[in-house]
Amino acid sequence: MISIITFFPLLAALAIALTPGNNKGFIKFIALLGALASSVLALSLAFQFVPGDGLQFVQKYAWIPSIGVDYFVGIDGLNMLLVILVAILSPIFVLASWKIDEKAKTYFSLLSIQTTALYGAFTALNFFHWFIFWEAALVPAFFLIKLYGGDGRHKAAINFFVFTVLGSVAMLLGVVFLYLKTGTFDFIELRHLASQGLIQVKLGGLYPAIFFAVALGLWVKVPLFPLHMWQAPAYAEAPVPISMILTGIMSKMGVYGFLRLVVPVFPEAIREFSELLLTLALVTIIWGAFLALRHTDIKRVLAYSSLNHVAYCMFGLFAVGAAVGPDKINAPAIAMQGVILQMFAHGIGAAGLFYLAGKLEDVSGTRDIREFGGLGAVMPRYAFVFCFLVFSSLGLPFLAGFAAEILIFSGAFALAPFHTVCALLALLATAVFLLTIIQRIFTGTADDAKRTLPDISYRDVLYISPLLVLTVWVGVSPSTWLAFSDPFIQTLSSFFTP
Amino acid sequence: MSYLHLLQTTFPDLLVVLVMFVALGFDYTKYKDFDRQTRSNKAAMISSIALLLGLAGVLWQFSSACCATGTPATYDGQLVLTPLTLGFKAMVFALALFVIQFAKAQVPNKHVSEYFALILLSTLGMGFLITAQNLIMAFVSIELISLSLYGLTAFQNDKKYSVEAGIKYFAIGGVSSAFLLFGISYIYGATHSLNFEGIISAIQNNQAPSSYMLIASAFLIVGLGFKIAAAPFHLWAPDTYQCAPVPVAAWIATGSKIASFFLLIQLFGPILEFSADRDTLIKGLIVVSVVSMVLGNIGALRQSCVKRLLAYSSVAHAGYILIGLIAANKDGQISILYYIVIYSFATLGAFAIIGIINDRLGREAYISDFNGSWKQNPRLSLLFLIFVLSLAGIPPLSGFFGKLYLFMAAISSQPDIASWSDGYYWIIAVALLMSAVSLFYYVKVLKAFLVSDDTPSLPKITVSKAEGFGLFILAALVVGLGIYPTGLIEFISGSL
Amino acid sequence: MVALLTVILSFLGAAVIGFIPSKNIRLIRSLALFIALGTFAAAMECYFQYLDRSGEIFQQMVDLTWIPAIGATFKIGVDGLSISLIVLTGIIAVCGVLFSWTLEDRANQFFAYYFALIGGVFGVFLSLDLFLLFVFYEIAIVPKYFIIAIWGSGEKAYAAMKLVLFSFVGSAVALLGIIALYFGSGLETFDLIRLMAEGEFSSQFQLVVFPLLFIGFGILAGMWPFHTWAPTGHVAAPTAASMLLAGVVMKLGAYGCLRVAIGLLPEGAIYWAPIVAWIAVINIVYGALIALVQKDFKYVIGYSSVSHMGFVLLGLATLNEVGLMGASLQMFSHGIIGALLFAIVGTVIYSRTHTRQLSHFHNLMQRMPGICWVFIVAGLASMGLPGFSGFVSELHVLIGAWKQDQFSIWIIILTGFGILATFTYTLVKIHEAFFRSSPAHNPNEVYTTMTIPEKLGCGILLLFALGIGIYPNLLTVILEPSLMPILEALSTAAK
Repeated sequence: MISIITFFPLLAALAIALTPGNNKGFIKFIALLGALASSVLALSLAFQFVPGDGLQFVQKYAWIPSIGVDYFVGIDGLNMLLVILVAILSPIFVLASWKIDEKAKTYFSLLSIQTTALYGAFTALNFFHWFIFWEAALVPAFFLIKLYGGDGRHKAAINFFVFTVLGSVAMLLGVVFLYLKTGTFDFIELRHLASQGLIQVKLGGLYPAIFFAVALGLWVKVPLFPLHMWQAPAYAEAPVPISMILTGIMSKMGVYGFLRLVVPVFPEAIREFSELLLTLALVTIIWGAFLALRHTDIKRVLAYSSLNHVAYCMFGLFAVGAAVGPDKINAPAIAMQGVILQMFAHGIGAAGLFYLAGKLEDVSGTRDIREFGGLGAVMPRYAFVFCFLVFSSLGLPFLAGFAAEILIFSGAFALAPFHTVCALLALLATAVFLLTIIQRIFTGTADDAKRTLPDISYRDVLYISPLLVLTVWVGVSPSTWLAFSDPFIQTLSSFFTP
Repeated sequence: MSYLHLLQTTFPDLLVVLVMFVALGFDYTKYKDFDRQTRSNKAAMISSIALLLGLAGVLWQFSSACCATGTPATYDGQLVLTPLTLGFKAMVFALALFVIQFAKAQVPNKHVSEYFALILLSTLGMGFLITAQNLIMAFVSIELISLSLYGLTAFQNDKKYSVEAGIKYFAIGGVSSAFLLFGISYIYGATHSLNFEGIISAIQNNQAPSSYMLIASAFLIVGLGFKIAAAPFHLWAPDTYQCAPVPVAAWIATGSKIASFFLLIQLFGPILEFSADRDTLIKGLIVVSVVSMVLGNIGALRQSCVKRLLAYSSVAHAGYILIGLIAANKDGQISILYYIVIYSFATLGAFAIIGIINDRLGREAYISDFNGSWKQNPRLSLLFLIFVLSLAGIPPLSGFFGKLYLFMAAISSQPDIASWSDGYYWIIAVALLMSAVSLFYYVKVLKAFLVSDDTPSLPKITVSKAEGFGLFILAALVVGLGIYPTGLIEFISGSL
Repeated sequence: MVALLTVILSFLGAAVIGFIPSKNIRLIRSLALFIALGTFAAAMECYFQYLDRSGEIFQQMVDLTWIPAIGATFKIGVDGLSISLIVLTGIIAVCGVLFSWTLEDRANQFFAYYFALIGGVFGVFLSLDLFLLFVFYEIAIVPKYFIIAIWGSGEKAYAAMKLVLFSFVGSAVALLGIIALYFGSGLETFDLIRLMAEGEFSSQFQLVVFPLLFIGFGILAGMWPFHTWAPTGHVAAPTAASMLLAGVVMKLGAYGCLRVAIGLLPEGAIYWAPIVAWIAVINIVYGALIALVQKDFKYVIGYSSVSHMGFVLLGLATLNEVGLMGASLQMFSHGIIGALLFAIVGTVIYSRTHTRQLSHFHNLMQRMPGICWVFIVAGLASMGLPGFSGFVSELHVLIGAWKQDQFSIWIIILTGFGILATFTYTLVKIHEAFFRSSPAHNPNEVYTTMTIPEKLGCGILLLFALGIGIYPNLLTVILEPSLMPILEALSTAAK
């Protein structure tokens, strides 16, 4: 079943590429169909999923026995929510691209290939298999940026690719070494070995080095300071739907990678280096916030906002490593739940925000915040939706962001109080820049040119309505969503409670 | 020994001599007023008959009782008829036959019958040299060959360069004969015998004082080195090959080399095997061989006249062949004889084609004249490709196998390799390196024939039936003996 | 017997086509395609028969006495390694014909030399007697000269001569080694199987002779610093020849290194392995960096071939199961992908733009999008994107290199750097080729879409690159048993 979900969009891509002629309607229809079909199937899996029952919907075949590689997919508490995220967002990506007519064939086939890669990356459970999708996810994104992006697209695309690949190579080398010492590429098996403390034994003195090598690849993807430099140009220069993919899902691949590969396999390393890791996450949070304040291109601002918010995920994750003793509350578990929820919440929120930013650029022809002002009166519907998502991002109660952030902070505070306090202060910075955006764009008086801007159409609102609904749903009832991952988190966090 | 026995032993040669006189004589009959070409055709026909009769005689001897029983028939220890010597003699006669077909189209001056007579005489000399078992016999045969060839070289007496070449050849050849004679005299002094048998037994029994033998060997190497055009005794070769009429150059390059190497093996084989001074001698031979290979190949690099190029290449080949002598074992001798056979085929073929081209062109051919030949003369180009690639040593042609066999014979005498300078590996390395160099200039020639897209300067060349047939046979032998050398090798090794 | 059919068909084909008059282009082409398909079919038949075999390592054996005087036999047979390579040759032969479909000048001679070359190559892979192997190795040299000198471009005479002389010198050095093997084994035979099973080579002998053999064969494989013939030669050659040269002929050298040098002299291999590994790394990194600065598109591909052969050499140097498997896989993978890249650059693009200078390409992505995308996919395959055969083979080599304790960690690190450099030059050159404007050069020409033979050729090659990438088991299943004897010899020697 998972394989069908994963490869259905690929078939759609092939269908698009091979259709003769240039019937744009047909092409877009096929793309939407591909995405929707997989979404529906994925969501049906969500209903069948039984939390706490371990790995489900497993498909495992021997592939390259000579180096221990299997075709191994499955869903457990960790990736269920992420698969749901992809399922919800992928049709929206297609819808957001509806206006793209030039070279539509190439665009939509690449988009569909990207969807396949995303599903694949979240469901693969053998490193080699997972790595294929990890790399495969880069390629369509690279070309989509390069072919359809803004003025600085060539440089942005190359930077994006090269940074990520650098990290990937380091990760590959690290995992290969791990394979050589443990004899397996299988994520589940590696977790097993780690829970018995064998990984540290087998790697010996090289344990920290390998940890950093593997972490490096994921570090670049999230991204975290100081390897984040590719992110802002890429997000800014990419066409809007691609920015949505990048921020909504691809950044989560990095966090997921940490949760799947690093945390279960290298818990001792996280514990040992938790100070350093926490500090870097903190720096990223603050860095992101301040840079968001400085810039005036709205997409850049959103990019740095992304940097800031995903860093919260990582903060929570690293805080877990700082667990020093048994607690009455299971602090690591709480923090990790926050991390997973934040992935989900930020995914839908940020995607929505980029979509809206794109719409603004479409109607006004500019991305420069300074040129706006007073749009709250001119486009009230738009203002409402935009502010809605911003407030969620900010952490307004009953919206998704709040639930996620409070979980992260409560957990982290119990584990690493000092850093958490700093993070809270950074939260202020986040609030500042987010509110500044709102103020700059929507309050005040609009100048004449802007007074005649059309409001967002009901159809566009319809497209992102699932995001709005989910934002509320997660905010009001986070436990429904956390139910997927709860048992998994319990086992994972047991690594950290000595 | 009885005169009858002499007649029995040499009757093929006598037949040749008799018919040769006919050839000489007919020019003084009614034919003397005919045009040169008709006379030349007639003379060629008569000479061919002569050789065919001689060939028949040799083959009869080959199959007759005296050879079939396995005991060689000798005449007074002067001549020996074994399957090997008779086989080579037959081959020499056949090659002469072939040369005559090519010679008849291009007789250089009005003395047609003398031309063919000299060719026949040189052939006889080669035949005697091959079957010789006595140093005086050998020397006389060498002189017979040389004098005939000196004359033939200078035959174009209206061209200054031809005469100059002839005189050069004669002068240097004369000096080398003197060296040879001096060496022979020392051998006699050392071993008290002029017969090969006696010489060998004297050496075997350590009765030959080593200082005499050393001097004798040195002088012999000089003398014979000249004959085989090994460096540094090769200086006559480029001029002679270039300025002599093409069939004569071909004959010098092949026939006299075959015979000279034969003698070299007969003499130096046993000397190297049994003498106490073999190490010094081998060192000397190594020097000659390496210098030949190097000077020959490097000299050929800058030539644009094809005949000179082939002259230098034959110097290089002499160097390769001497590796077989350095091996100082039976395999070495077999390999030398194998190589000299297939080398002659290829060289003769190449010279023949060049001769045909020169003749139709009316002048000396340079490499640039061959440009674009594949368009008008595809088959000629293909044949030339085969001959040249065999000389370069490309498998599956016989040149490759010949070289490999020579190399392996040399190594087999010292097979242990503990470091890179052990044994004869370094000589083989030099030979291989020089082969690579040779590839460069051979390919240069082939490039003109087969690659160049220029308008050909050569017209469509028609080749007479005899010439075409001969070339085809040579090419077939070059290819066939490369793919299946075993037949020839067994023949040679059987009677060595 | 079927295996021998590949050789026989090729040489017969060469002879027959050579004599057809040059005017009958259609007959010549069809015959050429037919013969190439025939050889491919024969090779595939060998593959399927090998899958069905009952445990023997070598199949299709033919053993005739040939030249007893030097212990040479006409011995032919195939195992998994040779089968993978003859299948590769068959594929490239077919595609080479497809990409030469428009060649008209002296077409009969072209295909005559072409099939003579292919016949020689098949012969090398099939030979189980060192003398026979060498004969075929050398037979393959002369046609190369003529193909490049007659139908090449640019400095073709110089490039052809350089290529031939390097190849000849390489084979000469290898010949020295082969002669040494004949005498050193004590068996006085050239029979490869007997030498492997019974040959006793002293340690000192192995130490001295292994470099001779490895360097001799390595020159043809493009080993640094003897690689300079490769970019020059490949660039000057006509497309079909570049495909053959980069795709198959370079593998002759690597095959010789594996089968003869490593297979027969394992102790020598173990001793010299670290140095070979360093040279291989230089190949990888140096090749990639030089490719980065090239201005001629075909030279980029030429140097990328040098870089990819570095992976083969590194895999050979690891001397363990994973690494040797990686080397064998990379031989096949790069054979396909290198040929594809040369085909696109040399024929598909060049025949339309008539230039190979990257600075002269103008908005190619707009004007020939299909072709650009095919190249981009090929480029992704070449840089080792997971999903294509290159990734599988490079991963094997990497794991093998890491497993080899003798190697310093820097070899791995530099290889990783080389992989990065490969990514970089691929992307940079794709950008320079397809995404730039230079209006000074032919801005208004209309570029035709790919012709049917071009599409077929590209499709076939991409199919194999993808197929082996997704399911490498197709090859590993025949390679594994064939590498067994070599690995056994290595492990015995290590004691």
